[in-house]
Amino acid sequence: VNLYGQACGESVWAISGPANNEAPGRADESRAFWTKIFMFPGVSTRMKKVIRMREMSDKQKGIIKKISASGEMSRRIREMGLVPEVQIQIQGRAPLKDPVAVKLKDFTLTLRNNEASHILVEVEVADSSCSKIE
Amino acid sequence: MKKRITIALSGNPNSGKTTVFNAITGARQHIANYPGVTVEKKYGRCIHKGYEIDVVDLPGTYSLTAYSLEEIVARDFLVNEKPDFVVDILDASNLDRNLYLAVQFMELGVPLIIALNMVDVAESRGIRVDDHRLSDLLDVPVVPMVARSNRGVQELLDKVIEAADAGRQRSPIAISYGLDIDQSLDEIEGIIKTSQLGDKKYPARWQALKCLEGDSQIRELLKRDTNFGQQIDSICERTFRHTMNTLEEDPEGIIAEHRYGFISGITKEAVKRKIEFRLNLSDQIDKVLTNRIIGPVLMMAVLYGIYLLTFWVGEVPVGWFEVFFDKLKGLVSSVVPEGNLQSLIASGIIDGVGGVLGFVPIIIFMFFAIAIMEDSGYMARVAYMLDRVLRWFGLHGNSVMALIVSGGISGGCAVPGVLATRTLRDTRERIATLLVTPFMNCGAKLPIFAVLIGAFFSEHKARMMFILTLLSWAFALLAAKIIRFTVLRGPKTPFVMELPPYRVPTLQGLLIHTGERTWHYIKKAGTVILAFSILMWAMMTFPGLPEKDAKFFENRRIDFKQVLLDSSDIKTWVKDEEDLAELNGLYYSYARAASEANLASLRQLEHRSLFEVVRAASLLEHGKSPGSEIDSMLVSAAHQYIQFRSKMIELERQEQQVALKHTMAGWIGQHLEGITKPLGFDYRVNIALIGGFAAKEVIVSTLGTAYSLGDVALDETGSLSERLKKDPNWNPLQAFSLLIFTMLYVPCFVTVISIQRESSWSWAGFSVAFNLVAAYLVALVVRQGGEALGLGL
Repeated sequence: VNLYGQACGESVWAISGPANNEAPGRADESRAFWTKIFMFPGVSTRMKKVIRMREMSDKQKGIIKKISASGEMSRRIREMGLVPEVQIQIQGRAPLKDPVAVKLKDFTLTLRNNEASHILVEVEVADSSCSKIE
Repeated sequence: MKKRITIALSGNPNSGKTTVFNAITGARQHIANYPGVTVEKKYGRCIHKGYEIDVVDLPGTYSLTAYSLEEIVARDFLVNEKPDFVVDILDASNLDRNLYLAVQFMELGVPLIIALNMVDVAESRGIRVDDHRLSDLLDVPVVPMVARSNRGVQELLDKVIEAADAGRQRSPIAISYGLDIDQSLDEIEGIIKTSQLGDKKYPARWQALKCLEGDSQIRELLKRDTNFGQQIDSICERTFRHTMNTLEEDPEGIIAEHRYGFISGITKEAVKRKIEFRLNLSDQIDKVLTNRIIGPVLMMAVLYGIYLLTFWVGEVPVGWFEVFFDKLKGLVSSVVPEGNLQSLIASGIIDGVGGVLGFVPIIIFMFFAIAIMEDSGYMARVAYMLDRVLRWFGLHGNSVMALIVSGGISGGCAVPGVLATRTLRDTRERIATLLVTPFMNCGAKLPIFAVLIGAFFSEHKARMMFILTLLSWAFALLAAKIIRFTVLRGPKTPFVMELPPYRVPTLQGLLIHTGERTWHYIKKAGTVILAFSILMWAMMTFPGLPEKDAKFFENRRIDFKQVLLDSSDIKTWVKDEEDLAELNGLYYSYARAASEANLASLRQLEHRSLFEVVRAASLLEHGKSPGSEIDSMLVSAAHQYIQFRSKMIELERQEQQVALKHTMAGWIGQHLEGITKPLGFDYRVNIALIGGFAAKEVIVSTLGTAYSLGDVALDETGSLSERLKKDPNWNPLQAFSLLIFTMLYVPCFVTVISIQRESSWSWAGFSVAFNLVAAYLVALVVRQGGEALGLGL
């Protein structure tokens, strides 16, 4: 059984996020790969991880921790209510998998995937769910 | 004396602002533009308890940055016009986000009244807002209301009056944005105050705040003095570096977070909620409507359904309009003596305006459908589902709005479509959208589409219309892609959009929406098109037939008459020119009464001496035998009369043909024939297309005028469709190439002017040239390709 399925390991170390507004590229993916190799299974059965909103699965819940964008994109994201400590849930994705619809406490927003990758979200992942993914 | 109060309505999009505005002002609304820009400014007035309250509807915004034109417009209005109160409409079911704008009003220090709208929706979702507590915490009057069902509107107006009587003394609130930011704020505020820099209309601290937020408008303002401007810049710079180092966050982000912190502190006290995170009805509906497979299918079905509805239901009243205008023309012909005046009224005015007004029912149905889509919240889902596709073409999810309003669902208008591009923030995406909006099938193109489809594709009306819509999308998107790859290269902008909860549209809202748009269309028909119809009529009438030709036709006419009068058989009934005139008149009356199946007037005609001849002639003309019991001499006379008539009609047609070629429009149209021949367009089509620059509806009226001038048979009052169908020069391929050309070629001048206002003269010029070239090339491919394949012959 692979205990460190992709959905678990990928972004543990990617908390800082991309420095600019570019969407994460190959470098991030290879980092995720090494992360996977060296990661040890957690002690508890439920883990808290910070991942990009883009990587969240449909219906997954989480709490926004950081907006790593700047300038216009950051302003737009924040003025629409996506700020740290806000609870969100992925409601679904458009027919072509992009944009993503995000449910906040009282309303629903849509963002493109490359915008969602600038939003870092703390999610709860049960260890058992990691193995299920493989 | 009545006291006057001015209030400005503001609020987030989807907060029910328009509903509140409608509820306060009712039908007493006006639409204008904000000075210098074309952001729509709606205003109205109401009288309440002896006070005259002027209401200005500010554009719906989420924020007060200098980030979009709407926000700048709203901000400028507040500081320049200084309304007595800003009434901020908040959606009670979504209070946190809605308060973000309210807090910014309070930062700006404008006198604020909060209208807590949709409290019923909030309660149904288990959210209870304590409006008294909210009012105390914010130190702002709060009025709970349900604008949809008119609850709380009177109370809101009461509160406005009460606050006005109390006098307004408001100072900006001071929120703490954290130690670092507050310190920098103090410093910048100090500089602004001592230097007398900046604009007195804005509070100094607010200007300082905007500097830290990187607001371009205010930063520019403060740069007027280089010395102090540099000082401020360096403080901003320092703060930015500091917060990035310590908090990994720019000042703007920190400020936004503190605003939200301030808000959540308030809502924690004022809002009680029973349930958190529950899938509400909207989410349930979205599960189906935005489903990966069902969603797009349903979307296509909805769009197609709108056509079917519009064409099936719209067809009935369109028929009534046609009958009405035909009757009106008949009336004019019988009252006004033949000549230029009759021609002006019948061919210039009635044909022109009637051709346009006749399509009003279709347009009403179409606008009604669009209003339902917009008001229900489905339009946002369409943008959501299509964003991935549009982005590929270098457009934005919000472009869909502009494209749909322009005629993506045919029946729109490029002018509001061009205005709708204001929601796009990126200049390149906005201009790209602007440039392709005229490709969409606007309502003004529908008449010529309907004529051509009715004539050549009548079995597949709805299907053809659907194909044309798909084609217009294809061309618009392709053109956008080309534009974004060539003249407008650049990156994409953020697409953070709200999916508003589904709402059942209110009838009042739908009617106002539909009414406004339809009225806009009618006004256009009544003014621009009437003027242009008359101008076109003049262009197609003058200078007219040269004297030499006129004399030739007159002589031929006299010859024909003489031949008829000289013939032996007819002499029994018609002895001289006077009798002939009597016969002509009777024949005309008979034909009209017969075509209308008007038995009473037929019976009246029976007593006239020449009735028998007329009846026999009419039967012969329709290819029927008059019957054996009728005198053979009478039949022979009728024969001669019919021959005479057809010769005269033929002559008249030739004369009109020659006359048209000797008009200004004929001259231009003929000179363009060399260029348009490969497309299969003759000078008449050219003339109509020239007229279409004024407004696309004119194409139909001009074509109608052109063809009715070349066609004299008064007992033939068939529509333009039928005339084109009968014309040997027309075939389905020619019709299709004209359909495509009309779809793509120059925007009407109102659109061109709008494009110019939204961008520049050079973009407007580019738009005309680009569209013309595109239309020519595509129509050329259609026509030549079709001919090569042997289609439509």
